[in-house]
Amino acid sequence: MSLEVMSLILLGGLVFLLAFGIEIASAMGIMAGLGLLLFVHQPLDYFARCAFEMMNSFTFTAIPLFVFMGAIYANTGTMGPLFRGAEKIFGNLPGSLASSVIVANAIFGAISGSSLAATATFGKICFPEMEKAGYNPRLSLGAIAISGTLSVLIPPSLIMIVYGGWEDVSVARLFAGGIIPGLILTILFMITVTILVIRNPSLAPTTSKTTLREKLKAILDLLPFLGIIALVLGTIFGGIMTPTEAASLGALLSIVFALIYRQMSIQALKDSMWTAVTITSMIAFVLFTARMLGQVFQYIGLTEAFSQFMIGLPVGKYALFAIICLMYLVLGCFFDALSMLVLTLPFVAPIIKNLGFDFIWFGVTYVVLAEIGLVTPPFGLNLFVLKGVLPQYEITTIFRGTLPFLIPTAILVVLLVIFPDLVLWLPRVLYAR
Amino acid sequence: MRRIGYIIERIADIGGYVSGWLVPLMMILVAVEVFMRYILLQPLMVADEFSAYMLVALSYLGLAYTWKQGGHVRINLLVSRLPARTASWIRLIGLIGTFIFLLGLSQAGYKMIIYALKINLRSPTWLIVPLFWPQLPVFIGFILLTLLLLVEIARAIAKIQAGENVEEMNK
Repeated sequence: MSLEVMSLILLGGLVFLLAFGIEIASAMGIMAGLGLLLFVHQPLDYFARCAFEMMNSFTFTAIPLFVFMGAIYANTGTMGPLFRGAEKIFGNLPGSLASSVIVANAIFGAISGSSLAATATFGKICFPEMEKAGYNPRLSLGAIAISGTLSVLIPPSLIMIVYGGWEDVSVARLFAGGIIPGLILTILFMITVTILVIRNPSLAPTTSKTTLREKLKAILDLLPFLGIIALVLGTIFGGIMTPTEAASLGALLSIVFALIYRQMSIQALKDSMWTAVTITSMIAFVLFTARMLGQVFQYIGLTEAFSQFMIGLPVGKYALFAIICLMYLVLGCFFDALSMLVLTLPFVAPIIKNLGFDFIWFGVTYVVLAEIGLVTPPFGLNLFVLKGVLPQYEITTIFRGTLPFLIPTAILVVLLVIFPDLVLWLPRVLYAR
Repeated sequence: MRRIGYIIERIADIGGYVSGWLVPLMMILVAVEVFMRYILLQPLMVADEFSAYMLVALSYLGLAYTWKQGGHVRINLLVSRLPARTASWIRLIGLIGTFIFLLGLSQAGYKMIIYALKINLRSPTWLIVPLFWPQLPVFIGFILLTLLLLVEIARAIAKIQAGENVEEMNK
């Protein structure tokens, strides 16, 4: 059978199954199984070994631990002081509460690697306060949904752990690479809020002045959070601990922290455990089925043919990268960041390698592109999570709120392409020895 | 039939429950390793291997529980726009397709653990752990999900017969 026919059957079948609502992991598994039986002429036996070997990884052990850590903060309500602390510090800015949500999310992003946990938590805590203060719901919803995406860029990030484990790239370097883009994006989001409110003052009430004394007190409130972040990321970047060890320490400290704040309960602990299980199991199912499908694609020669075709296009290196970005923006509307990553990597990784792009740089840039997918319909997960927390608002209203924030995200992608050192400088400095 | 479905769902919950407790256990194991290595300067040298085995166990024992919670991501954009009856039939066919795939996967899992047992396959580490044990949760997880899918298929058929929407099943 020719490559074209095999590719058509496998890719067409996959699109068909996905369109008809079969779970992404199952759809990939079914097509991988069919490919294995029909085109590779092998039994399904390797599937089970792949499932075992995929998750028998110390690197991936960081996934449930970081999820658990973030979930403890989310479920115990210890994020309230974080938001209120940020509110005091940035109280003088136009649209200060929206900016505070963004800063609080950036800090939470340095504790949790899941944008969904961030969006749900801040949707519950911040929206009622913003509504009470008289903020335009669209601005509030937009700020909460978009700033939730900072969690996947600012380390620790689940996507970076998966990418690192999948492509055999240092997770610690990826984490380091995400810091400067994460900070830039946080600042760009805050500038966006400021511009929006200056242009249309009805979006937010006039800000109340906060004294220096109040600001200093607020910094003290934030210190425990900053301390944990410094400890977790500091031990990783200092080369003292692996991301998994730091995740374990961070999770342990989050429990201690919640106990000190007298917010810890057995129910919160159990809920955090179940959250870690559902996210890890979902990831495991996606990972091993995608790996199998990728191997089938490789065996029939599709990945190589695709990369040869792409590299052979009469366009330059950056035009080709722009095509890849465009592909991710379109796919991001339909897939979650993780499934999109593992499904496309067998095709995209050889092209990236051939074009001479750095894999750390590409990993971080991918995460920024995937962030856009998190807030674009019809499958923007953050939109759905926020809709779940605030059912009175339509998805379209939430999306309209996030729309202005897509401009700074696109600007960041361009900046990363023009100045790759925004990603590569910090890992280079930290790991120079 | 309803009782069997209930029992299978409870077993899936137990799988999720066991997986859940593996998370803090894993956290403690790695934290103890960190303490032993950096404070007492006497590393246990087991945390890397055992935490990875725990990850395997929690990932696959929690597979059915996650399915029950609707945690496996799917794109229902098209299906949600179809008439309820058509969407129900499509979901039923999808569940049957997934069930057949999981049957194959369970068989593969069974062959894997039997092979590990037969040749006494061990880990290539200094602990030389018999791999049958860490591989067993993979097989159990696949079986649990297969059984849960069987229950979902039976429920979907009942819903279609009653003229109800299968997509509402897990809501």
